[in-house]
Amino acid sequence: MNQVIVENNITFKILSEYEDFKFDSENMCNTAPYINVEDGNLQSAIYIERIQFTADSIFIKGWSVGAILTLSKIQEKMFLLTRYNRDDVTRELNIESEDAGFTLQINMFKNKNVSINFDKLKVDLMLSLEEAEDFNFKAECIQSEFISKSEEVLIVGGAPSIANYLNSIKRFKGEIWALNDAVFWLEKNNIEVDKLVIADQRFVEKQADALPQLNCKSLIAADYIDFSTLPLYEYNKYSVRILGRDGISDKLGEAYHGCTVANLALQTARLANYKAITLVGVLLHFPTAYERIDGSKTIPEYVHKSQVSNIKRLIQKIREERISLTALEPTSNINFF
Amino acid sequence: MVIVNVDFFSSGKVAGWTNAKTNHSKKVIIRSDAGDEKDITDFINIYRADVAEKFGYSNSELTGFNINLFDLFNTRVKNFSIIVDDFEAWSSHCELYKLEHESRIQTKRFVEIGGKRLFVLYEQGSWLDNVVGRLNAWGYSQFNKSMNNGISISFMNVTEFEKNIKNTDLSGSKNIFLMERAAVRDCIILDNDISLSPIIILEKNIDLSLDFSGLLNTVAFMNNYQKGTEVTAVVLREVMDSLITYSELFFEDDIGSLLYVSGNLSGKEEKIIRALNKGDEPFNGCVLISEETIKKLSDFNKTKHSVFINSSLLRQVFDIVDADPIVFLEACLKRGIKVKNIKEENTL
Repeated sequence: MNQVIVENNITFKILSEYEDFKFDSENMCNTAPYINVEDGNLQSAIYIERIQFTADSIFIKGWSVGAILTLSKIQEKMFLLTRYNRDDVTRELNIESEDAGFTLQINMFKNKNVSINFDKLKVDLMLSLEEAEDFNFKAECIQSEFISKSEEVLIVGGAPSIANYLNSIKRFKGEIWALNDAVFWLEKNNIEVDKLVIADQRFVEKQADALPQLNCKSLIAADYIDFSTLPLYEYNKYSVRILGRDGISDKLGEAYHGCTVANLALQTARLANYKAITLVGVLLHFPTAYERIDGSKTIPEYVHKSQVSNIKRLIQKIREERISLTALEPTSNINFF
Repeated sequence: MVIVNVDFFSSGKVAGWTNAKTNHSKKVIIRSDAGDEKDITDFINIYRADVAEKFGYSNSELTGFNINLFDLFNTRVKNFSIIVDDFEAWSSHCELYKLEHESRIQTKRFVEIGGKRLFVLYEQGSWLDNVVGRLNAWGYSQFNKSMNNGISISFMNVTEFEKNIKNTDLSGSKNIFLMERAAVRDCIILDNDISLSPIIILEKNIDLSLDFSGLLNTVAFMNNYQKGTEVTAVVLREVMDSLITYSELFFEDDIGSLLYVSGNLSGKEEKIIRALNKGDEPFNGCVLISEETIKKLSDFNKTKHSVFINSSLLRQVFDIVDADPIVFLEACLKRGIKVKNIKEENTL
């Protein structure tokens, strides 16, 4: 039995029949999925990834293999259970495709005590909620579907040259993606960023305090990025499985990192069927010292050759596929591949 | 007693062990020469069987660490200290001071075999022999191939080199030679293929005029060496550290791609450079695009012309890519890089 107390007048009490099924109060999620295996075969599994409060509801998101059977102590009309496809789960567990993902919405003010029965596992959530609207959760939702609002994408990198293209960026009608630090410059200039692309753990650590302040809550991130060190930050993440350093993936949701976040963004944009890709602030000039729009100038490890050879192959493939690809800076090496 | 032992350190990595975390529950910090501090307590997560056996630690007492300093500081850190409980337990400054000032017993020179190799060659009894002796006395762990990005390091005098090079391919970018000037002639006579590999010629005081490959200029630029800097054991180590830490720059031999360096663009360059980059082997040199044929360097005009260079040649021009284009082109020619002039109206 675990008893978890969370601050801000919200009290969680989790009763579990299984000791293995633990709930981490600090991270607001399970520390590990509960997986029930009998005779070597997977019987059932559950993992709660996110619990989010709104003014009048609680949303419990996660994935399960096997049905969520009953919801006791609440009336049927007071909850809504939605199931959806989770490729990452079915792939990892090597199971036939089924709707593993779930979102459970419960009307909280009328239901202080909630009990979820999952297959053989019974999880009781006893909740009392008084100041839900003031409570920010550190929460993560992994998107299984890549959602785009446009057929054109502008990928904005961190080179200082982006300052010369502010008006062009503001006029751009399609979707805007920011690479690492460029997101802060864009939001400072009142430009709405649709997605923030992250492939470097150092960026997450360096900007741990600034990231939660962002208006942009949609991330495209390499699967090896660990967000657990971030303070309260709620976001939707499209997780890209990284297959290695050198190569080009033909499956959306998988990519080779190519030693640069621009490569991850380009591979994702290519597979997400954008008809036109424009880049700004991605120069790939010789790195005697990396200068960034945030003012930093460092000599990091040398990976320029890998960056260039990988991105060159990718760009040549994108051009062969007749996807329009342009860099706004005439001197960007993107234009010469 | 808290013990901190560093087996290997460079500007990109530090590896060693300490009992500060497991036996004394102390916080361990690395402080860079710029004053930046990082807590590395969580990185002490390697089981060191040798340490456990020596000090009687159990399997669960983790003492080892192997830390990538680029990941930690996001920049190159030339000097740093390890701090335990506000006490400086180890510093690279002290380690390098000892290297220069403590007398050492000469030990057997290292000869590592295979893969990418860095040769340090000298005449017996010369100034470089003496400098290498100090480095060698440091111990094997500092020159372990696995710690040095897979680069084998071989210190040899010319006679030892002659005995050891049989059946070794000495041409190409897999080998880099650091040689004292007096040894160059003898080594090239031994095997002419050496002249096809990058050679860094060392004098007791750094002389960039002897640098026909450009690599010494690049290393000097990275470490801010002035003309006449004395090649002490610390400086030789720093030169080797630069070559190994940036091994992809110095050792990787790929076909490269033509990349923009400088100059004004008219819009026609895209087509020309894309065509040159498309083939299996892009031109391995410097390309100068102009409206008219450029017959001499003084004809170059940076508002009308543009310069591109193959990325595989960066190690030879790293120090001058941001320089004035005429300085850049002149240096390319001096460092043996082919320069090709393409007129804009040319169709490829």
